[in-house]
Amino acid sequence: MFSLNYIIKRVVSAFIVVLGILVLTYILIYFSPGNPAYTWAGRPRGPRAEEAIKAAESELGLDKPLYLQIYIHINRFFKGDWGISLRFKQPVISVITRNLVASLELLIVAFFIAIPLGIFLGVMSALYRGYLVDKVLYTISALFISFPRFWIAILLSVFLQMLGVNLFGRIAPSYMLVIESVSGSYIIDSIISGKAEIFIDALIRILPPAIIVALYPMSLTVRVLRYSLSEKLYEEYVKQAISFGLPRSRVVYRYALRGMVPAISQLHGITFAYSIVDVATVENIFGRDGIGSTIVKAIPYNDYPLIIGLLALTGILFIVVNTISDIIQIVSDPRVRI
Amino acid sequence: MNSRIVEGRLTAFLNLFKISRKFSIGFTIMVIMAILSIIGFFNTPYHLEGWGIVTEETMKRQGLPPCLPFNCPNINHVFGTDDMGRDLFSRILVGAHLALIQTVAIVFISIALGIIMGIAAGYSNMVIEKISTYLIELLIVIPSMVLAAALVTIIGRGIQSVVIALIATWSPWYARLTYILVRQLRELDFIKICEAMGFTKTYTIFRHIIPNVAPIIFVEGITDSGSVLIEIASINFLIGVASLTSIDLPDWGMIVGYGIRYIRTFWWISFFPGLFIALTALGLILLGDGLTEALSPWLRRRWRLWF
Amino acid sequence: MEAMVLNEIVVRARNLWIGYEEEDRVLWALNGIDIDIPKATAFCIVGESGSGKTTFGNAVAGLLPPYAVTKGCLEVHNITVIDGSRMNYSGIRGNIVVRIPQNPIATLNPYLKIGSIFFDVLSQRFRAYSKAKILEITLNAIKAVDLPDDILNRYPHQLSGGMSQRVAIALTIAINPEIVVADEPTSNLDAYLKGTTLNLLRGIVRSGKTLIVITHDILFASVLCNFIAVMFMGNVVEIGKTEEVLSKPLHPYTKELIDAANLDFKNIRYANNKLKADLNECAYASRCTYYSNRCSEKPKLSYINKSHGVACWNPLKNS
Repeated sequence: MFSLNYIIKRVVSAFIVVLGILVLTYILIYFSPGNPAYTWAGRPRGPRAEEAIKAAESELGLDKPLYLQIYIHINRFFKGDWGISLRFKQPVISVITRNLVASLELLIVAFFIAIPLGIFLGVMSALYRGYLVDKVLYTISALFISFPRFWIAILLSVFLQMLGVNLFGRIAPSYMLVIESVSGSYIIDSIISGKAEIFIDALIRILPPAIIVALYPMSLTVRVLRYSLSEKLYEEYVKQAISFGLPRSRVVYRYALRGMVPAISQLHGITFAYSIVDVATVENIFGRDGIGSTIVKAIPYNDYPLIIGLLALTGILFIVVNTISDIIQIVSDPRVRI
Repeated sequence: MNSRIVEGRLTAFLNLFKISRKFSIGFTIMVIMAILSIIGFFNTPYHLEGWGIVTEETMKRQGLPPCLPFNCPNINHVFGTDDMGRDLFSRILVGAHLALIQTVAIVFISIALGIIMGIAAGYSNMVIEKISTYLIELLIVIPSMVLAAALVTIIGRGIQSVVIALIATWSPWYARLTYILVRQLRELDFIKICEAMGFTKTYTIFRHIIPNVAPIIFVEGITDSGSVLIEIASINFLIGVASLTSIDLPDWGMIVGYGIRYIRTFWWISFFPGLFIALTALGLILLGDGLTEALSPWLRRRWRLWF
Repeated sequence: MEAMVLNEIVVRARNLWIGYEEEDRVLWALNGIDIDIPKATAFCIVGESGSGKTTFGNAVAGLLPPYAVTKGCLEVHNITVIDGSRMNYSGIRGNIVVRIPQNPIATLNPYLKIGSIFFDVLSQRFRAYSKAKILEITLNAIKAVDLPDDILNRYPHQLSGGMSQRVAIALTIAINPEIVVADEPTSNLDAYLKGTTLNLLRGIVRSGKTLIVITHDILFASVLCNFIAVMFMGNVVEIGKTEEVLSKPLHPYTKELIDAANLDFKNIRYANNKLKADLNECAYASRCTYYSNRCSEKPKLSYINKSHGVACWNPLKNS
């Protein structure tokens, strides 16, 4: 039995924040300099501009009072009607979901690399503090945190090119026609359709960008563990476990690290949000679809509906991640469970 | 008396160099960057009209060879030239103060706003506390990159869009930290005594809460500034990639982003500004680490495995 | 130096120095002490806070922090654990020495059930045993301290202070070590729980184990133990059989402790210990009523009979 009460409360407050995000996105539309309809229509010029602005006005319901406009905006959002992307000439929702799945795929693979590796290296760094292992790990993690990931990605992509390896895109173009899109993630799709060679291709192509995205959360885990694990080792119950003569790996992983699960979960809730910027830049360098390339394509066209939809959906994604990380923090501590 | 205090602070500051090699390295890098940015602000090897375009006239005056686009690094152009024939080294020099000012502005304004929001959420009346808590929770989940993109479409491609977006997304972190600290402080006796003695909340906040909270937040801010710099550069990178025409603003991130379309042949356009971002961020991070190390002696202790 | 020769010796410290590394110097907590602890006895170390008694207990139990600095020699159960600056406790911790903690509730892993704590500890101690055998040992130990069986399914935060103290003792009984170090076992307990803890500790001694009790409570020590060592500022100032030490204290500090325990404060002087004591003079000198010029030299522990030793130039004359 977990503290259901807390979880329900947390979910309700998360929902309020979702509504807040939607209101905020509308405020961004409403208070945009000049006419909101003009911005929403993508600053049209030319003979058909008048028409486009009229259409945008009626779409936003600008003749109604503000609270009603916000209501209409939220209502449309939940119905899935987020307007038409000016750049892609498609419904915003389909553009965004397609690209968000691609980014999430990359992000999740990156975190699958980052978390175990970061924990392992962080433990090494904390245990051997002051030794060569720790010095090397500290230097590496400081470099990975301070070197912009897009720059590392550029270097890697140039290096791969010099080797003659082509890992651009999410999948080899020839496979693109073969595979049928179910989830939007090529890794999952290829498993569903049982095509091993596509799966391997998608996996190899995701690895270099995923490793680069993983650098930041990994290095941060190393640094946080290096800093706080040594504190944890002084905790009375860990000391007592040492006095019982438990083997080192058990003391570290089952006793000291177990107490850090909430902190690590919170840390990765934060780095998840930070890493989305890395994902966006790295995607562009490796020629992958995703929210990064969507933004890049949307900015020159002033594709406001697309950006607002993206803002709302990424915000909601972060809310979900934060809520999950909070719930993990609660559930992982038996003292708070009921 | 006064001079003694100054002297004491000075020795404490000089001690930092003795205690922590990280601090010395970080400080040196940052001093070099600051000097470069000051130089770049006033003068550059290729005197810039506007943002880095070298006019015929200045070239004649300085007796320099004409600038060609895509010159690879040579004696005249240490880092080469870009697609418009602008000297990259000059652009990077001018970009230095932009990067530093953006970072410092974002960190300081975020800390100030964060402390205000955090105190509002943790130490005021019920209604304001509730509203501020939700405001913090709302701002914390806004994706900075997308917000910046939205602001770019509204108010244009300048540094102000990115600065506003990052202030909006970094201040809630400091607000949350302040909130936690204020909550802890409220439980302590000296704050309770202030309440019992009938001091106003404003007095307590300025006399007791802010002096206790601010130093912690500032050390955190220095540690974060490296990440802030990278985030600015990443967002500007995306704007640079998105840009259809060459960018006048010599922002490092934008130059890298704009340059990746030429990366296969003209690698230096993206490489050198990226190197400067990396060095500056490294300096900031080492500075923060060195400070943390200096403030927590147990981190410097000799350590051997004892179990 | 003439040592007590009574039984087999299980803990032998010879000129043992232990200090903690600070910024640029070492703070010495033990200044070259010599202690012999005979087998199957209850041995008590009393002293005020900062006297180094906990450091000695941690040294025996192998819990010195990583920044500790050592000199001299410490043997536990005929194995040299501290030799100069080297420490090696492999095979000692959890097999030969176990520590009963000061604050038992904080020493149980809050994320594990009591049952899995027992299993973790015992599967390390008895590697060859099967799960069923380990469970049997666990249940016997639980029964020995009068705890219900269902405690194994509880988390530490669901226990009361007395229960967690008994769990800690049950763990010790289950491990069945040679030496038990009890670090302030009663400091947080009320009078009734003190009594039950006392009985459980007595049971451990009766079963032939060596018990080292570290306490500031000389009365508790006198009831439980048959040997007392009094420590002051990192030195052993008096050592001997309990009844001898209590009835005929030789060192003025021991007298002070006994008077304080009897609520007799007539002769107590305010403590103004030097923080950075001169290692070459008697540590108690600044507080001593019987100060003489010789006290600027550090006294050695000398034995007035087979078991009673004192480190003082002017020991008290007891009629």
